[in-house]
Amino acid sequence: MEFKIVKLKIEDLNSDNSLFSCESLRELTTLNSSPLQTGKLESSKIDILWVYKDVNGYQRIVNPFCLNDNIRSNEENFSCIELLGYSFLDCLKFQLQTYDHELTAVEKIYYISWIFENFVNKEKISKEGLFKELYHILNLQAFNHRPEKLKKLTRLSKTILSYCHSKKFSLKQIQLISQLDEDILNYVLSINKLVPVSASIFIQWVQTINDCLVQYSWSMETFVDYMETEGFNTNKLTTISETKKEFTPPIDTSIFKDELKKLRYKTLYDYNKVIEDKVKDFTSSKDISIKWDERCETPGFSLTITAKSKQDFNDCLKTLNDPVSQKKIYSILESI
Amino acid sequence: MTKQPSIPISAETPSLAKKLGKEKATITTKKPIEKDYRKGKKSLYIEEKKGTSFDTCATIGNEYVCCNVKVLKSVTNCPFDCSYCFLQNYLTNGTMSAVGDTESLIEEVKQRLEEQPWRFFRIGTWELGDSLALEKDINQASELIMAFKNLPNAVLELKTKSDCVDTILDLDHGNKTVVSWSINPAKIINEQEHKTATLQKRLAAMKKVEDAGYPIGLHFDPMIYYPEWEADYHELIDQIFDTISPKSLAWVSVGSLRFNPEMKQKMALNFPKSYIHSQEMILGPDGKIRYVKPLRLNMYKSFMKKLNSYLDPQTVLYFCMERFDVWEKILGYSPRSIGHLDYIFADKMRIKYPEMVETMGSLEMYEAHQDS
Repeated sequence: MEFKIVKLKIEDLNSDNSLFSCESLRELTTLNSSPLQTGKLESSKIDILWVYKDVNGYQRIVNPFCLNDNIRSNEENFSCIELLGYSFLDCLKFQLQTYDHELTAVEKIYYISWIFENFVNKEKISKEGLFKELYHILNLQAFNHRPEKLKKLTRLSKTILSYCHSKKFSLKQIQLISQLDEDILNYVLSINKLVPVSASIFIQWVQTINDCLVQYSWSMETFVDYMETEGFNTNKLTTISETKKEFTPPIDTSIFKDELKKLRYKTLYDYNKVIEDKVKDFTSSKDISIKWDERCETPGFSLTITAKSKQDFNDCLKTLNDPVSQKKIYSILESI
Repeated sequence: MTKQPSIPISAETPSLAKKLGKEKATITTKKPIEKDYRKGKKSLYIEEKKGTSFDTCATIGNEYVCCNVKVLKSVTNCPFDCSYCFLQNYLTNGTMSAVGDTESLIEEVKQRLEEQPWRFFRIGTWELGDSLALEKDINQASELIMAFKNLPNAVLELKTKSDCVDTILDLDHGNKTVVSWSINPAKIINEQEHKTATLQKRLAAMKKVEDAGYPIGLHFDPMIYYPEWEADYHELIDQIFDTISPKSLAWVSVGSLRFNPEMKQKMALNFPKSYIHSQEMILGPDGKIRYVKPLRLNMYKSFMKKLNSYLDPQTVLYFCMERFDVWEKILGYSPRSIGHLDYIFADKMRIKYPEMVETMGSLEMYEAHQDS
């Protein structure tokens, strides 16, 4: 591939008559405030800007991520490689093939979106045609027949995509949350800001909230009101976050988790409560414990005796043989 | 009759095309592959039987009781579009198709019957589609009805959500075919069972079939939970028995909504307005998501009480894929095994419809062969 090195100034990008005639500056600005600017993408990944001449003779940028890196570095001048005598598509493919790191899911979303926005039509190539050329290189086979599905993901807000990027969400995970109401995502993100949660917990919570909204035909406002009535609100969490130096997420979010579970599995919650009370009533001895399937699907329970001596063992047997105890055990069995 | 969507038909061979009528059949040489199950519903492909079509309905496990009904995979995909249909997550090729050489299907059934002459076989054609929805175009059910009339120890079950019964009413079925309906309250039919016959049309078709002397089957499956479920299901039972006599029923099954975990997302995507996939459900030991047991028990208890006030004692009432302990709690007994339930069917049908069961195997034989 033939090329030459050219020097470029940041200001050149801000003018419509610049060397690069960058009509897509608005989109690039969008990219500047994208997760890609958060420092997660290191400049070592793509360290030089590539340009090529389009069908009208204007020079265009091939690798926008590099632009971000260069802007971030505040360099006045930076070098570019101008690819000579190749089509836009050749340039893109060459650049992607020589790129030595796998792009994250969010980066792929931005990249494809950027390409669709800026090169389709202008380069006389359809979205489908373009995607067909690129999906193998970008490892997007799952979207092979439906590039529009990938495009839909770009509608997610930057805040959400930033979170996905920082937690290294897969495309499948992003696709999953993209189907949910953004209010739900923002609500869980607001919790995450105060008490960071893992990607799997994030997904679990947004899915459960979504299920609750469908289950009760609620709006998000109703859900938030309910949670506040039950003792959980993000303001409370703010207070916690201000007073504690280190967070212990399982404790700080326990009210939320409990209330969410109670709401989603109301019948099971009530049912387990009844069994729990019966078990408490029966096992006054700490040496006898009863465990059951809390999904209430498998009948029966397992009863464990802890004995450190013959006396312990005999005491347990005596308790189990007691008619009053047996009546209580039967009652537990009938409930499960 | 319900107006079915206009479906272009293509066929694999000239003989199948001829059978369908020259004017509507186009001969193609290869079944087209359609990955989108919905797009696949827009055309009908008639194919030759390939491989084995005879199978057992469900995967037999230890925790949930299966009735051991056999299936004949004679149609694939269906013109209807139920929100809970497992086909949306099952078919690798969504092209709607039907086996055109019915005689090959019958040959396979005959061979299977000969292997176990002591056994009473219930054989349905609804595993991957609707038994009657396409009948006007393919005439498959009619040919099967006529063939089953002469098959010993076997009954054909045609299960449908349609009202496409007119073409089978005058056939001499010899009580060897049960026409059954998968049925739900009008609200569920209207909101979840898209493009199917309305409740009123299904009931009218049921009456026609009863008048034609066919034994009838009812499948309240999947029962679906929603705030007004109890009153609606009770009303449904009343509507059914205002239309047909309980004596016309061969069997009645009851089962609650259940699906594979991966179906949930498909349902949400394909039916964004549907609420049924997000109710209080858990993943059972058989890998299926279903309503939590206390909820199922509550639904069954109320429903069965109402249903039992009508049912004839010789009608087989059973749960589809439900736990042994649920049987015990609701019906006061449970079959001791899958083979036992299969045997109960044979025994009750022998008494109610002597034409169906000529040779009665022992309970031990049914249990010994329950996996085959």
